[in-house]
Amino acid sequence: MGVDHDHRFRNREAPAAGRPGERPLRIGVGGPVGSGKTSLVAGLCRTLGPALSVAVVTNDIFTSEDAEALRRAGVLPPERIVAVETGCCPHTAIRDDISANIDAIEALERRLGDVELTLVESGGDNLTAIFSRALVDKQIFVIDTAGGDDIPRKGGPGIATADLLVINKTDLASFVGSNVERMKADARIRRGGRPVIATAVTADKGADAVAAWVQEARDRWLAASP
Amino acid sequence: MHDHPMRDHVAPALSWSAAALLADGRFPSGGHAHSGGYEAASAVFDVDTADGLRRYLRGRLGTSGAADAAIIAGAMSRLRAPEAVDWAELDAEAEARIASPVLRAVSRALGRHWLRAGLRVWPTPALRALESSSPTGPHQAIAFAAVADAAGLHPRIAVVVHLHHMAAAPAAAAVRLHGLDPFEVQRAQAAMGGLIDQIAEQSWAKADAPWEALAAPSGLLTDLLAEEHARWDLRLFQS
Repeated sequence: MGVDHDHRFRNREAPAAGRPGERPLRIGVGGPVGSGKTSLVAGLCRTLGPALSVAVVTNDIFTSEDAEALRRAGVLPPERIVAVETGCCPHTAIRDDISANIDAIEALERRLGDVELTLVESGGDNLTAIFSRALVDKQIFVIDTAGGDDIPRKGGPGIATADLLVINKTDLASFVGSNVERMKADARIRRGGRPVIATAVTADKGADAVAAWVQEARDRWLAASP
Repeated sequence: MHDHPMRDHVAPALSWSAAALLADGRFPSGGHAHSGGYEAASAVFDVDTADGLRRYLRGRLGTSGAADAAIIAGAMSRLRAPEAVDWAELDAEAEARIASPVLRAVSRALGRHWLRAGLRVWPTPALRALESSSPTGPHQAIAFAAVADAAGLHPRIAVVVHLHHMAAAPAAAAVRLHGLDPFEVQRAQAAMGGLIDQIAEQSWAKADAPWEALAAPSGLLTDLLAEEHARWDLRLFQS
């Protein structure tokens, strides 16, 4: 048998944690430090914000750096962005003990009242970090070409099971000797058919393809309404 | 053993295994993001060594630990008649024992986390009553007491479990912040065993006393440092 997708996770077609009508769709954005999670969230807010009521919860290892960056970017009104502090352990806060995140998300959605999409950004972490299914309904894992083109091959739960894998900073690939085609091919092997988008999210329209995926995920979520 | 009326109440539902569950740091109750004041203290005082950690733990357990123990034992005593519990009175007693506004907010956040987890695992009428009694969330000691009661912990064991967490949070933070030897850190925690047992016994013995008869020691320095810590622009723990 040749190389196949990661069989440890083959049955992971995660059911949504919540139901439309009860609360907005929640999408997690995870991935290693510096891969472009905050830039992607900013891009999604810019693209989707005009048509959808978006809220953002960020998770930081140190205080509220990412929330501040998003507020400075002016992609959303500041009151739609809150930060959760994670006590040295970002993966614990999104996976093992989601208490503080659930608390923050529920409080934010309740306070704003009109939220249609909640984005939960993880603190930068390692390749094993995934979101709990009780915290988000869909998850995006962001890696980048500058982190090394062997990352998709290394695999792990984030790369193998995220509903969408984003390979970011394709514009830097040639400068750091990374082969984007190889990254995409390795990712497809690891992911068994789950979607992969290679892009540069800070470029003009660079977040559009991901935004379209989010839009489609939301349409499906609403269509599943009982 | 003590001949205490509470034993009659808790005996039928007494669960030793639930105590292990609640003592496990993996029980999802939000504590992992808190250092129990240790991050702030270790930036100012020389408690960033194994010996220093011992001094810190002793101070914490003897002050806010003893105050929490009184609340937990008192709450669990009153939970013998769950429908008669005056949640507002309990809330006021807990509130009055925390001087720092920052720490009051932290206590309510951790109380919400304990209550959320408790309601999912042991959904009792008492926990639901506690939930509806407090829109901003109950204080941590009260929520923990109610969850421990729902899980079937003996009150004295419940106090031991809570104090264990009060020592474990700074201990874990010492490992993460300063890279202390994890074995030495466990030795420091183990050295608190006698103190923890003693506080648990004392709080249990006085569980039926009126609130005003209970000692309410506090660590004023911890309260002040918590206010300062909340204004740091770079911190690894929420408190």
